[in-house]
Amino acid sequence: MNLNEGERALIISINGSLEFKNFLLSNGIALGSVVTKNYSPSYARLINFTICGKMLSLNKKDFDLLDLVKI
Amino acid sequence: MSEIALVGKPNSGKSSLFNLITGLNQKIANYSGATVESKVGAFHSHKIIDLPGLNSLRTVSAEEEISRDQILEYAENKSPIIFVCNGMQLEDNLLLFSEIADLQIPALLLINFKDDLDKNHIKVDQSLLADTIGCPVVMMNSRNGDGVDDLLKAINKKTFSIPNAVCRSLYDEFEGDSLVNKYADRISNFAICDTQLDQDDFFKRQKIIGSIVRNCISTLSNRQNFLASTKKWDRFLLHPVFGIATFLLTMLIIFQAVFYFAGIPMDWIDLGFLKLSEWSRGMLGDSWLGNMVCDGIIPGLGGVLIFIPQIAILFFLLGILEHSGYLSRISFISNRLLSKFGLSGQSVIPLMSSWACTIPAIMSARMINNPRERLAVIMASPLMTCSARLPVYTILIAIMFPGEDSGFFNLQGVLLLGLYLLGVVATLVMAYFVNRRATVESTDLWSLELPVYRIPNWRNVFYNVYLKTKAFVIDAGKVIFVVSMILWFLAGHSPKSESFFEKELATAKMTNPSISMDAVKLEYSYAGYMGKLIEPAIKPLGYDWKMGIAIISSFAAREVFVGSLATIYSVGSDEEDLIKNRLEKEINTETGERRYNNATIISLLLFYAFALQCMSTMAIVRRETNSWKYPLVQFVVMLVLAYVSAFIGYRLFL
Repeated sequence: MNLNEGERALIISINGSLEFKNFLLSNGIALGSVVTKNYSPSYARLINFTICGKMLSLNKKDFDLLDLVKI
Repeated sequence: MSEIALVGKPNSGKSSLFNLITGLNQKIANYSGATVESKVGAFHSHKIIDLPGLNSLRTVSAEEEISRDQILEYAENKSPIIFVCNGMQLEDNLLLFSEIADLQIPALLLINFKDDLDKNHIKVDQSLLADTIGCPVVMMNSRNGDGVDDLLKAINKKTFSIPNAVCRSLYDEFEGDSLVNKYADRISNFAICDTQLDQDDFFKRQKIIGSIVRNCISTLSNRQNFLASTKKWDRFLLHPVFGIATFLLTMLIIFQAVFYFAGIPMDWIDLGFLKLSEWSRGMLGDSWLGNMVCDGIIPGLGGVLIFIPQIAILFFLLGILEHSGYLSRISFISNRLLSKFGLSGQSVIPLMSSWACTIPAIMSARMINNPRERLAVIMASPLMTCSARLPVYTILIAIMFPGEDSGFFNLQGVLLLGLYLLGVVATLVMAYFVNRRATVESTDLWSLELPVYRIPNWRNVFYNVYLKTKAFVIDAGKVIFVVSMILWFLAGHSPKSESFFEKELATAKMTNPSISMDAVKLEYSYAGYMGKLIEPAIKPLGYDWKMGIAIISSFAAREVFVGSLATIYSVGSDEEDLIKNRLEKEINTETGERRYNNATIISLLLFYAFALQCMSTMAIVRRETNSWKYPLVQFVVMLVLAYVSAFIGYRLFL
């Protein structure tokens, strides 16, 4: 789902490989985490969001593997 | 002396704390069996070790693995740790703390950036938190030292205690009749994957940490305001147009500043060594010792120490970028551009570190998750312009554009920036080919944390400048001292007799009346023969046998070049002079023109831009890739590139 800048969402499911899921866990991202989208300039192919007080960026294609529900 | 390790996530202020408590009483060491730098220092009677930051014990990068293994060793020995926690990211940092707590290591929790918590009216119930997690909690601000006395008291009273376990029981297994805990085994061998267990573990941690944070910390929602100003700055600094323009302008200012501010102190150092040489000559006379000191050691060392101002300024400015939080934005901005060359934004920090020195840059490539990208960075980063190239570039540019050093923006700075850009382009092209050809596995998973913008901690910036400049001077100084002595011997001694020299001088004076006896002696010295041996190979590049000697000697370390030239021209001249003046006065006996004309200088600049003249880099590449194949390929490819481009450059500007 597309989030606009400043919108918050809950992670309800994570698609992708086992390696990807473990990678997210090591970054503190799991089901039930709340993310707030900050920015995603087209030149960078990255999405920056706030989670647990830190501003984290993921590749756009990786971020798209998260199923989100706006809150 | 008790040993205490500082453990924490990146951007937790761990290194600020380390610099604060150890001052300049620190040194850089390597972990046993691995080439990852660790900092060791002393704080009162305690030995403090600064471990590299890690996000989780479920490690992803090779660098984090080193940190994890050290923590496991601490767990086994029950050695105490100080867990440094970023006060503004408590939940996230406590997740890592809980993983370490399950290893049952005696610990002390240090909540850093107390000032940020105060400014945002976030209150931490220290005693409740200590009771809940089962170990002492100290709050401080590592930037200004507020609370350091509390830390000292806690350390001296040895209040470290084993924290309450969080998920340890999930890893209990029966072996026969006894219950054995497998948590440490699981952490040390994370390749054994069990997603369900990992998820259960994480959910439980998240739940417990969430509840601890809610109970012990008030008004955590104020954290949003804390990030607001950073987000405002990012709107400009990550803007598609203004952001990229700001990045390019920052780079231009850095390289202009390297020339503009360093000129005067460099002249002082050069003059100081000239006076020292004259004074030593007066004291020691024309003895062999006098010649060795005045023609060998002093010019050789002066040839390196003269560049301290430029190197210090470069480290200072790069330090500001790093400590202000802007360096991570450069990773963000460059991600897409780098992806066209098979790299990603995470390669930016190792590549930019190469501007200081390739060796730590290659070691820091361990932070890259993708093995193929890591190999590409290792293979390509020696093409970035390291600080050892700076002495060569600056002396040659100063001869090419004499008197162009008046304003802040000048041709010298522009050419220097051009050479740095050339290094970047060559690096990217090399990375592209390595990515295309390499057969190692590849994954493109990576994350990038953007830290909040801060006024740089000047103590950290200056410590960084001091330690890195000191390392440059000591490492380069050792090599240059030895090379200068050998060169002085080879350039000052000859298999020929005095009568031979007199005959040669008389013959040479017929074509060149100003030639001196010293110049004739240098030509027929052992070094002269060596230079002449390779002269046919380097003549197409515009070099003579004297430059040949300097090039041969600089294959050990490229910064030796200027010191070698200083020694060679010092031995071959009967008067003292500044290094730059000596090179400017050198005449090509065949054409009667300046030896260091624009064509030769361009050729030399290109040769030094591409040639791999650093034995330490080759050794570290072998170590990191575990094979001689890669450094050898690297050496040959870069040498061919250097030779061909120097040849083309010389012919174009002749």
